[in-house]
Amino acid sequence: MKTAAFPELASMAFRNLGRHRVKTAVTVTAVAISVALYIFIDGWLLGMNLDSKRNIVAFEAGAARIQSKAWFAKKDELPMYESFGGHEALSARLDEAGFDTAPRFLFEGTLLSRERSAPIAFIAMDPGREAKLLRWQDYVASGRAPVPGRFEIALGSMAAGKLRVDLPARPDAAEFEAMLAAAADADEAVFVRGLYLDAPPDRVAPAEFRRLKPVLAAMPGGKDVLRAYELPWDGDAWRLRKDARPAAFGELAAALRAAGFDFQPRHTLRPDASRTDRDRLWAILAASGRMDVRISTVIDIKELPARVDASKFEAELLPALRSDDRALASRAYPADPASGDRALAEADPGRRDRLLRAMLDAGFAPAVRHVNQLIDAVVVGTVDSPNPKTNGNVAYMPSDALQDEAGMMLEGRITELLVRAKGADDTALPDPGESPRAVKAALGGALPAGLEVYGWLDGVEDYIAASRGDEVSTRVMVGLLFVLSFIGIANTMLMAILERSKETGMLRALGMTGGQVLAVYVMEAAAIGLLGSAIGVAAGCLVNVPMVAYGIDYSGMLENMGTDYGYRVVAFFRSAWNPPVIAASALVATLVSGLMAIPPTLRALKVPVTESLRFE
Amino acid sequence: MTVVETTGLSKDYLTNGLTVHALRGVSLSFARGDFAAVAGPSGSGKSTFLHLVGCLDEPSAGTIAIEGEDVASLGRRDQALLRRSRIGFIFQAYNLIPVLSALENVTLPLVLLGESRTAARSDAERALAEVGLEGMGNRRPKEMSGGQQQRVAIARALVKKPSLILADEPTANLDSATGRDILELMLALNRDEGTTFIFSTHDRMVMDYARRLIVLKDGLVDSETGS
Amino acid sequence: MKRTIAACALAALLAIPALAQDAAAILAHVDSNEGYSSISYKGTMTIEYRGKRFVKTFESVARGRNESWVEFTNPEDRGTRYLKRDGRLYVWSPDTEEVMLISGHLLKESMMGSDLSYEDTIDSETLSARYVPALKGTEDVDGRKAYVLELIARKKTESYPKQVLWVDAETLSVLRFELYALSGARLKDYRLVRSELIGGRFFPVEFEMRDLLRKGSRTVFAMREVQLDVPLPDSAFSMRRLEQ
Repeated sequence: MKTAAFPELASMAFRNLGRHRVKTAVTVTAVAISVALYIFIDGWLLGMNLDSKRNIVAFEAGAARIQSKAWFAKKDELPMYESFGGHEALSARLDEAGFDTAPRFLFEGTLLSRERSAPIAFIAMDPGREAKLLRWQDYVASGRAPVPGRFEIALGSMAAGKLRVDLPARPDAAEFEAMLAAAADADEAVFVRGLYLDAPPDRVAPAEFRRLKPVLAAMPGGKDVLRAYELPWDGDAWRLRKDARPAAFGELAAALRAAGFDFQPRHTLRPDASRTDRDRLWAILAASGRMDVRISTVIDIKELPARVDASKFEAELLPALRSDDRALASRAYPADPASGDRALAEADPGRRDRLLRAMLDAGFAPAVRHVNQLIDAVVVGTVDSPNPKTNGNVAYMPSDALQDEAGMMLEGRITELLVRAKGADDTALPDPGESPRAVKAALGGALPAGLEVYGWLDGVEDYIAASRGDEVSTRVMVGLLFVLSFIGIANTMLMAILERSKETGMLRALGMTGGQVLAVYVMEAAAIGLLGSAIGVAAGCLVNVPMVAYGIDYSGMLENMGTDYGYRVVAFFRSAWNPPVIAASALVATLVSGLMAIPPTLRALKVPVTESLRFE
Repeated sequence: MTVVETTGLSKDYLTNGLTVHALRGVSLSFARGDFAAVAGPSGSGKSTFLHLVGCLDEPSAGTIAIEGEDVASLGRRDQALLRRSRIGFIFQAYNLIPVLSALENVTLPLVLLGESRTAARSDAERALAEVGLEGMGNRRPKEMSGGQQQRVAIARALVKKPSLILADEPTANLDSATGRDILELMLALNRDEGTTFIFSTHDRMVMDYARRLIVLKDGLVDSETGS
Repeated sequence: MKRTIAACALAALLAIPALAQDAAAILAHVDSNEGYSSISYKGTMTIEYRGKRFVKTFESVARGRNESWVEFTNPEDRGTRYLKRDGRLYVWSPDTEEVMLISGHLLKESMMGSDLSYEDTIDSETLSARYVPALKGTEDVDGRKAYVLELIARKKTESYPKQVLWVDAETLSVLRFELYALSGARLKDYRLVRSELIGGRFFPVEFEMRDLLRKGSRTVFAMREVQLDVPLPDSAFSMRRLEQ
């Protein structure tokens, strides 16, 4: 193509856009919506993922963790029998190399409060060392963090609410009476009562509200009540506005009563209650036994079974073992001449260890013993951090209290050792100096066989799955939208090119080459894409500005989903800017739009010029 | 000097499964400065002849030479370049580009030839003046009468000073007075520039104007007068 | 006075080894009393939990301590089957039409909403093999004289590290027992309601189980048409029967 002709061709292409303004506008809008949506969703996903990753590092995982390979292989079951000892030597070594470490022992159990029970993931840890690399202790919402040496629990706030081992935010009448009864004396009872506001009802039936309206309107303070309620568009009742000031609840409730509306008193914990007041309330409730809990769990211990059934030994164990282990097992378990059952007769500790390892790797159930355990403990605080994993069914306990038979018989064993560089920035994701490889290098040869250093993302499959799933599903969705708008462009171009057959013939008669004709139509289609992209980028960025600055509150949604939805963000979805993707989406939309003109143009060019000219 | 020479030119179309022999071996030669009309009843092959000469379609058999160059041996792109540089077209339906103004329509062939924009514009303005449309360059085709549009088309064909102008029924859509004006215009250009004109027509007036008349019948040359 | 105390002390000292031996003998009796080559019966499980009452009926056969089969027959659970063999417990549910192995932490779960966990049904060894008994004296249980046996697990890894048994002094059937956690906390409580003389021994045909972690909960098991030591075919404990 002669470059000199390019401006004329371009000008022709752009003028052609104006020939069917409505069609062009519709197509441009489709592209704009696709681009804007893509930018919005991409920014959203990026923001959620970025926050999630930061929160995983700062609240769950640190930068790396040392676990036994056997534990890691079965990590979904939290196999506590695959724990390991001797971690202090590793910690000392890593300390010298500039790393903080936190030992943890994870186990599952049921937490029983006075009224209810819930399955809980327990984290036995060292509060002091944990505080060096994880931040959940800074987010103890009520009460305090557990103290070493005591059977104390910091419980995820959502679990605490379900189990009723927290400060009741909105106790009903019966519960409030119980709280007053828990007070040791009149002074405490007055204090408890003072911490709670008499709250107006959450909902008022429309008929009732209609009746109250004129009464309230005529009353001093009545207008405040009317302002405090709203009727949602889908609502079957007037609701107390979310932004109603709790400080005014008392007056609102009093005004409603004065207007002749009789309702069950509902108490609300003063949102402005000081930390000291909250702590005192916690102490009063704890003294009444509200915070007393019991942990029902099973201690899993690996152990060579003393006896194995003959049939089980032959049919289940031997086939699952490697041949050399099979010989080892047969020697270690001679058959009883009378019953044929196998009884353990191996004394050599090395061979016993090897056989036990082989049995566990083969999934031979009798090699794990389950001991019933019931531990009395007290919840001393609730955790409410930006990472929902810490706020759900999770309990933090000092591990030193659980070392013997009154606890979990840990005897110094842990299931993982968290690692993070000293003084690492919470908001920064781990750098290469904290990678498993770097941690391993720092350990030199000190990492015992059977243990491995894993990265912070190795233990959060649920997050990765959720993130990947969303990534794929939303991108596919938006991708479909793009396809739709491209089909729109293809159709627009097809119609345009068909309609302008004669014109195309004339251009060819004038000596335009196929390439030049193609250029005109591709530019026309690309212009649709470019225009749509420009509008889409502008709209997407406009939506993104508040999404990045403020995010959207979805706490209501979270309540429905619980804490197990993968992402590690609470209450706010916040977007992030992703300039490469914004630019790329505009570029791709423009390019692909342009490409849409190629097939119909090539088809038009195949026809002899005479035939094009004859087209009516 | 021969501008166009065809030998045994044939064209078959396939329509509804039937082969139509539009041209059946037409050998003609046109010299520089010819002002020739190819006439004949509908379906005689006169338009087909013109289109084949203009490289707008491929012949089924025979050869065409434009200024001695065998057209059949050229690729599509080179045929386009040949049309661009040496052939001007005028059609019964004018075929102006609707989104371009009269001036831009006339400028386009020059731009395609690589002429600078300013030079092309002034050449185009002159060409419009020559066809009597001075000052109407900014009008869009739909703002002009049929005769005016055909004048623009003539200016567009002439502006690049081609050696050959092919006019396919140029007066068919015009009233006889306007048709006469257009023919006078073309005759003047033929005289002044020495451009070769070949018309296809069944308009008696065109035949009267032509210095050479070729009558086709059933795809064959029936008679030839003048020359 | 002094002499009598000394004499009593001496008698007590001498009595301890005798009592210890008695304890082992009593436990051996208990084991043999509950040991049978096979059993078949129809059962009723009455669960009371949070003020509600559920009655489940089932048919069961068992052979030795290692093989047992339970199939529920009450309308809500009809078709649910359990098979214990090779030290594993399988369940087939008509809802899923799938066989599931009950293992790991599932063993801790309540069986069919009762006060029994799956784990409680799976132990195969005799008490004597797993525990060292100590006779703690005698007590009156519902008007019957009973030996109180404290069982301490031979190994720390026993599922219930401690049990206490009340054994009828006359019939040597277990009138009551308690299961303890490692920490010493009581977890479960068993009381015999009724035993019958079957094949020359007292066999518990009705008893109550309480999971003390479930408030206000108890489960009463009753057996009818008990037949002991009747021959049973291998097919009674086959995986194929479970999947049928």
